[in-house]
Amino acid sequence: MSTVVNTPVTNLIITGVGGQGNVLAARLLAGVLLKEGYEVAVGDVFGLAQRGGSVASHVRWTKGRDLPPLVPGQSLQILVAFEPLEALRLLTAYGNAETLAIVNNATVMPIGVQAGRFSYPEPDLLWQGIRELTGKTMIVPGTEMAREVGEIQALNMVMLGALAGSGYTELRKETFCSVIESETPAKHLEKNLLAFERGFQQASG
Amino acid sequence: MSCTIELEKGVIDTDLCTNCGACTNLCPYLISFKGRVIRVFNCETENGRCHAFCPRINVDSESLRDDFFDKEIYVPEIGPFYGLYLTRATDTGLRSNSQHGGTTTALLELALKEGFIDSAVLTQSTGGLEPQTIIATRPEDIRNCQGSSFQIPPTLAGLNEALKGEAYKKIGVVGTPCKTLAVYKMIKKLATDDEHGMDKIGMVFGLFCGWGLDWLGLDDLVKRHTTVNKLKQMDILPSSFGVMELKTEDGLIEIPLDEIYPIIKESCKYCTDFTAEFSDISIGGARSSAGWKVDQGWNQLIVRTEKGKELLEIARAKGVLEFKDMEPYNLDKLKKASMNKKRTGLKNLIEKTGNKSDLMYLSPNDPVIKGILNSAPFK
Amino acid sequence: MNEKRILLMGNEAIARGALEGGVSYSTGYPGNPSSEIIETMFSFKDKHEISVEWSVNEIVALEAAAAFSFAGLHAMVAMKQNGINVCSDFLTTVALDDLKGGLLLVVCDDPGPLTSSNEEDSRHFAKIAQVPLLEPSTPQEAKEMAKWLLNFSKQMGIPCILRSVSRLSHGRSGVTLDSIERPKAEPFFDRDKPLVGLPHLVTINHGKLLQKMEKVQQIFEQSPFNQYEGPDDARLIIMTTGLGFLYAREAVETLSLTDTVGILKIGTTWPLPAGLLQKYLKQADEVLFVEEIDPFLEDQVKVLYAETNGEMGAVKFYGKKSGDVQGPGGPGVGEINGDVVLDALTKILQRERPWSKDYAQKAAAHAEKMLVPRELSFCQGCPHRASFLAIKVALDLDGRQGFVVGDIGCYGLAAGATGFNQIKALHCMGSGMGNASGFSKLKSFGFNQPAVAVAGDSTFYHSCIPALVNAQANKADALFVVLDNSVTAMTGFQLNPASCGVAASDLINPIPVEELTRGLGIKTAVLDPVEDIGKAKETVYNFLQEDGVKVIVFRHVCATFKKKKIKDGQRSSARVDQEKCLGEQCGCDRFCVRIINCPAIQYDSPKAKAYIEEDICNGCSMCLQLCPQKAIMLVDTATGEVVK
Repeated sequence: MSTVVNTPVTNLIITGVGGQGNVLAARLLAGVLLKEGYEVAVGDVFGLAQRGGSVASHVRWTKGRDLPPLVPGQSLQILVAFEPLEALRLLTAYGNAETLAIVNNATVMPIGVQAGRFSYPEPDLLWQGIRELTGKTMIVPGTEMAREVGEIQALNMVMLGALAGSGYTELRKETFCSVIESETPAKHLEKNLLAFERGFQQASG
Repeated sequence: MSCTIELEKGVIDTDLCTNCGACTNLCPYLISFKGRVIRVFNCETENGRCHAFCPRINVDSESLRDDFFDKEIYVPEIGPFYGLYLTRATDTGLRSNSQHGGTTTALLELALKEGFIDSAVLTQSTGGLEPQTIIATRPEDIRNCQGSSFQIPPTLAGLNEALKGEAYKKIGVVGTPCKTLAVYKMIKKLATDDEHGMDKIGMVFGLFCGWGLDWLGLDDLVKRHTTVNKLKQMDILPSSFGVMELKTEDGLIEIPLDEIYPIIKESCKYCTDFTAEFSDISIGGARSSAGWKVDQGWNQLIVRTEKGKELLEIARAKGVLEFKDMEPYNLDKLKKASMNKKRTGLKNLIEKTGNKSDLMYLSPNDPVIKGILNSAPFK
Repeated sequence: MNEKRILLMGNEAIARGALEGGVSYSTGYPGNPSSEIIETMFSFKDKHEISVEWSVNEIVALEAAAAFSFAGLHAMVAMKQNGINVCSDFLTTVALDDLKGGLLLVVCDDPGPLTSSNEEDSRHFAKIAQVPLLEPSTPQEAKEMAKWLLNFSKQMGIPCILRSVSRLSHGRSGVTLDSIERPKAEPFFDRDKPLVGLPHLVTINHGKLLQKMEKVQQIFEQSPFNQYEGPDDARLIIMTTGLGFLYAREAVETLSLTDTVGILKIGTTWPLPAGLLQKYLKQADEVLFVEEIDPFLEDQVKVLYAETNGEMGAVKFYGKKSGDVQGPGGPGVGEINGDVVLDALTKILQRERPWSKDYAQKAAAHAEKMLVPRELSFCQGCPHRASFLAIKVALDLDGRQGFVVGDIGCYGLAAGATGFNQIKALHCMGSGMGNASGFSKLKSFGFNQPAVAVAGDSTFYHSCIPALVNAQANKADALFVVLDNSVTAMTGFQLNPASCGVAASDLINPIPVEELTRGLGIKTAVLDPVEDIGKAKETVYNFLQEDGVKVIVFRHVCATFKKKKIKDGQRSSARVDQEKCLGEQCGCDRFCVRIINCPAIQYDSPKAKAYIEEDICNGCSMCLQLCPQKAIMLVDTATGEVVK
């Protein structure tokens, strides 16, 4: 067992809608962290939740000790959200006044909204809510950029790029790229790296 | 409230629905199946056509009548009235396959030939069972639809189909009183939505109707007495004879009316129209008070509009129909029968609601209804 | 940094541990959160020459694995908590044997169920069967335990259980790898040592088992899987298992209690190391229990405490029984997490945890105003959508207030809006079939509502056959609908015996459902519900009108599986003719958006027209058939050409 030392813990959550690719994004980020010498814990959910539900991957890192896979309430430092409503959902549970958020601006309608049982919040109110619950919010046109790259499924790469370019962490871009190279299938590599770069430029530019 | 829920609560669940079909084939929400209209899913529209067309919700007979008929010729017992006639088809071939005198089929064929209509929405059945709605555009299609079905097919589902697109410009409709009432509600709604919409209905032929039978109940009844594929035709004789006749390959089977009454369609008990008052011409089997056999094989026919009059004159001129002189008591008998149905229908409605001023789909302010309610046995 | 340290999911770590421990055979039945264990074993299969397969169900899996153990080789079976119920009959008998090879049963519980129809704590089975059970706290430890248990099982001659939970099984962290041992396989079944559970032998073997378990307990007293950290004079000690250890440690750190509160992490949950526990019971004035689901450790420690007749001095116990450890669902309900432990500690010690009430209020206000639920939905192109639409309409037309009884699988979502709220009873694997058989027997009590049973293809083979035979033999009147999408979709698209047409023939021998049902003399129809919804509807209706047992196989390959398989092939998508679309008007009222409710169908409110997200549409054509205006067409996404 690792011994208890008080090195700081970073808590990050990648959230979105089932099928948007948060699990892969979290796995790649964890690979980056491991490469950079951190102890990392990822908390994930598979199965039913992937069928259009709200999904969140908790990614936590520190040095010198094991961490539990779930972020405690109000302890979130960084939020990467693939969908704005999900950003708000996660913030209300885990956010705090200092939370840094990177949010894709494209909405995904819950089926209850499509069916008319619920209404999706007014965009202005939603963004206002997100801002009120964060220290800083960066909005990324992630879906649009993924579509421009020619692969809607590359949204997760755009968002990882935005995280890498945001300056919210000290993780190096090269590490991200090398992990993407080793961990994603060769036939998607080109588009994945392109999508990552687009996200990076958007966030750092 | 959404229109589909309102129809379900106010018409289907209360057993008022006649399965006329007016609300079906308009949308994916209402389906007519084996004599019942079923709501599958809910539509959130508030003023849908289903609601506007339904003959069992918000019926304002008086204003509907005023919109389409000459006030001067209105007879309280039997509606707009230019005259009553005893007729039958001249064509004996046509007559031999018909229920009574083949008048409806002969008039429809004539209307088609003379351009009164370019198509007819009709019902085709297998010996009176499993009726299906068809859109006929040729005389031979019309002949295939001879004979009655007591299962009350959703004919107007076929009309709704025919109204889609531009294929038919003058559609003829044949139906029982509930259906022809719905057709006039439809014309009114169509006219509101589009001033030329109403032109698509060429002519309306009403069928006299005492009551219809429950679809599944009739299926069961027939199965108890014969096999369905042997059945050729069915008819219900005047109540004094007390039988239903099934004409089968093996001959005539008589079923006592005691077996029929339990399967009378519930919604028919709340009907107040015997003679299909909303129509250009309405037609029934002749029922002479001098004895049923006297006029057997003849139809009685009421002309209600100028268009109806015109068609009948052509029929006479071209010898399509034969006419028989009528005894004066025929009209009285018809009026009496019609009035009886009105009284019974109103009585049943009042029993259902427990309130004389709540007649469900009918307006208590309608002058005819008011008149009845202000006399015996209601007064 | 060790170069053999890699990122692994808990389940991958368990598989790696089994590999390092010399496993020769692994099998199981897919079920969240356990599926990735066997999936990972498949990835080792060729390189390490081990035998791996998916079994038809968990008891068959355990029985097959036991054969390896009987012949002297190591075997592992993996399953979710429901699975241990299925295999428990064999488990309680094989425990009485003297095994020659290691037999490891990995069970992954699903607290606060994320994908289960119960919230069972499988640790009780260790006590029922009297077999050892370990609980890891990290993926690293999960690997170590799996490896150790295989050999320990062989050493003791009894099966062993490794208990994981969702967050561990699906959590990832760095794991240091060890070398892989490949024992020389010389399987042999000794006919002179029969493994026979006849009654007169059972008492003898049961006695032997209990003796073995006493020895196991002595070994566990020294086990490195149990650890104490914290001050030697701590008066408050947290006794914890599994992930509870990490939550407890984080809570102690967060509240700066490392100098006063001790943590006793128990990895050997059954049999408990009584001596070790008593040592800390003696030291402590107060004990807080932190563990997933039931108060299992808590209850057993209290028994130990009672057995010492007061030698431990007065100890105050906090846990699920006292109500101090509980999430929003109450004690023993739902997952535990850092917040649950923080709340418990702050309550016991009357401290304040770092918490901004102001932020919480703001968050709650926004949540109430805006947080629309995101209900689960069938994927775009999912054949279940068509199947349940057909069933729903057929039941409506039938008019006898019929209903659907089913079980868990993707199709279990049909209990919600995506499946038109059709499933009205959902329990364990295959339960719908048994239920429907029973409902039809209510006829003699005047019951007239038809119950339609549904089950997936994989579930059909897992546990529906006995119910089907029962219905047929007992002359039930029941309609069984097999929703055959060719794969076990929910757990990750595993192949199963019904995987006709999608399985590589070297993997499995496909057995079409209809061959089996027709062999039973059951009238069976096979059709594609997506291709012709009208026919599907009609078939369900017609079968409902017939007496006896009937089966409809709705066969259409899982759309998401298909999409994964043919990534770069020709794709087609639905497209809405904007001119024809009626939108909200009478005659449609957004039928496709509101009712078909496919994730690919969206609605443009300002324009009042429906449109298709062509990026995600699977081109199944279901909406083409259902659009009342015939306004939807199918286009080739590459050329834009109209295909249908």
